[in-house]
Amino acid sequence: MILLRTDGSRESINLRVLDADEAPSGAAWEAVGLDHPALAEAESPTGLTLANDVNVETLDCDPQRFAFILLDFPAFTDGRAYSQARVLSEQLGYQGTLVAGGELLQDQAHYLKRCGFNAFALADAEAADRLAQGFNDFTAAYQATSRHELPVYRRRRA
Amino acid sequence: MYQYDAIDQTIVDERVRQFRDQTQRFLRGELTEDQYRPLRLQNGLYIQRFAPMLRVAIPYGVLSTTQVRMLAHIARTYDRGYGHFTTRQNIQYNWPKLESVPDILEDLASVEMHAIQTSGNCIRNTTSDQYAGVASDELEDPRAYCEIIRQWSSLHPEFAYLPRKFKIAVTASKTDRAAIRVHDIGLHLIENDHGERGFAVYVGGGLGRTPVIGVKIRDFLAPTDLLSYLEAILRVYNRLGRRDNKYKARIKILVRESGAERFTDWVEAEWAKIRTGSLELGVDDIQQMQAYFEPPAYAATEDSAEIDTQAAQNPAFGRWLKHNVIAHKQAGYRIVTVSLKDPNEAPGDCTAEQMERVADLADEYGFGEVRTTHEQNLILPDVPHAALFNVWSALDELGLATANHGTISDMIACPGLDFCSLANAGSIGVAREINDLFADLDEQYDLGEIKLKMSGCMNGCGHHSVGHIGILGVDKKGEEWYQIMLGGSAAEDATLGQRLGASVSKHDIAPAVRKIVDRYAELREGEELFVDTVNRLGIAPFREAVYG
Ligand code: SF4
Repeated sequence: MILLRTDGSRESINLRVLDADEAPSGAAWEAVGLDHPALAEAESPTGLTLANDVNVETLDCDPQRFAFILLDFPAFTDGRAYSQARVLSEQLGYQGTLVAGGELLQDQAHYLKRCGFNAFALADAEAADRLAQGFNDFTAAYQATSRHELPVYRRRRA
Repeated sequence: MYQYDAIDQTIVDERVRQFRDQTQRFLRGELTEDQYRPLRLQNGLYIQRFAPMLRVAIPYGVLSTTQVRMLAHIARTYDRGYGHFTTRQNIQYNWPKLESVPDILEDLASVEMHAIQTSGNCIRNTTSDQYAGVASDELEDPRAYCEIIRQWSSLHPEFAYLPRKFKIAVTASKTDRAAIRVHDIGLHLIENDHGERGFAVYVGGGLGRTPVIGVKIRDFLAPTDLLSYLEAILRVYNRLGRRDNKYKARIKILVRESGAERFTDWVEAEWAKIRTGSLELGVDDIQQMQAYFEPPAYAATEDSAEIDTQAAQNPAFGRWLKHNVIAHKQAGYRIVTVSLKDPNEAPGDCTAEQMERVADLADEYGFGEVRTTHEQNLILPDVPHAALFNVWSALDELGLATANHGTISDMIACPGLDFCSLANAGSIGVAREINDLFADLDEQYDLGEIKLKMSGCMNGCGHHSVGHIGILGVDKKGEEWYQIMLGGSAAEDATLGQRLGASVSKHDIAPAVRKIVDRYAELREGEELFVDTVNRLGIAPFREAVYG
């Protein structure tokens, strides 16, 4: 699997979502779900994966514990994870790697990026190339959505 | 009116480039039909019965004459010489070629227009009162807020893939001409007891398969909180709106299933978290936008004394004056409805030549602005009183002076079976037959305001559920049949019409309308309006008139 980052860099990773009875090994790209017993341990697993119907505003574990959080697009037309990403990065101040997985088209790339995703899990290099092409579809936007932008009405009067 | 700056232009230009690339990838086979469909829909492109249909956004129904001329150019160059104005104040072209759509979009971008989010499961074009800024009864010009909403909602990264389409309407008058209570969000600009202005917020209205009148979830929202509150509503909807069933995916179902109170609690809780962030508008942010909508340089003129003589000498002009011309907030000016309801034409259709001539009139007798209405007419917003006769003569020559505004023949009708691939039944032919049965304009005036609204299927693009008389096309074993509804309203007293009885055949629908209206004429007390008679007596007498 290829991990593409918003800066264009990519690496080959072994992204794994552990079953509930599988103990974390400490490897870099291991994620657990909310039902995994390892969440109760002091030592955090590396990553957390959330289904897109989870309300991240009421998570009872601290997202900062995880080096990465994997959010899912079961179909590219199902946009729930955009809201999860914004709440994680903007309201909960999540600073780690926010990974989008599932069906990702290049036409969503700029939306994903602006909602706070900074990495994308893709099947192969070709898919990564395609998605990366979409990063720069837009050089301007109206909304302040990612961590550092200003909304258009602030920029106009700057 | 609003004018693009470099930011707006860049966004629109880049969207054209992106869409051109998407279309090319589709034509090269790199995108499947399933992948391309949502992408093209987000840019207003449908694949219709005969050809693609392209829907172009007319934000809150306001057009410059340069833009009107471009719409005419597109009709002539890429289509068959006409366009169709819709119930959402947009324009549709029924015959463009798929390959030429990116070129059309590029032409549109050159005059600050686009087709962004005119379809698809995203936030659609924000609609408003067609008389915004010139209405004599408005509290304040709502267009600045509409434009703020347009910008916030355009290519919003979080809300491009909602459970279903999402429509917002804004009004600032007591009389609701924007049908805000049949929108996903309706905003009504009001003044509270302390003399402060803000919005009453309605949520969960909508037409279609399950028509619902929106409920008020907030009595008063300060204008500076507008975007944070909208964003809170949209986030709750994006998270919780149903995605398992297309027919239950609109926000109205979420509001109904969760209960308005619980829904409001969710919104308020989300809002509390984001209210004071970058979404909070400054008073100066709002003022900056309002500066675009300053009134034009009206001349200090009075009403012309000649007009009465002109009307007396020319009864057709007199009729038009009475029905298609209304008061303006500026002395010496009037608002003119340009009727797209010639009895022989499909409601809302307009030729390239007609568009260009209307643009000429708006330049000559106005300030270069034209409006579109959700009732599928055009508006000349700033006509000097003394110029009314000239304007009428010109419109009359163009077939745009049918003096029927507000009468039964000023009907709303969707394109129906003639163009729409979802239709069960035709609308345009039925419209014509009804017009034939009400050919006498004087009779129409006697009957007074009757809002007849017709849709070719349950989707309700023709707003049938809120028509005083609503007609819905249904399919009965492959034949076109029609259901009739009575007593609906889209105005401030929004109500859904009641179904009259079993559907009637294509052959019987126009005569049924005639029977309903005849019964009204018998039962009406004095000058009572049709809808009031229906409300007073219920539908029983009308049912009897139609079904015996
Ligand atoms: S109401 Fe139905 S037939 Fe009419 S335009 Fe809408 S989808 Fe098409």
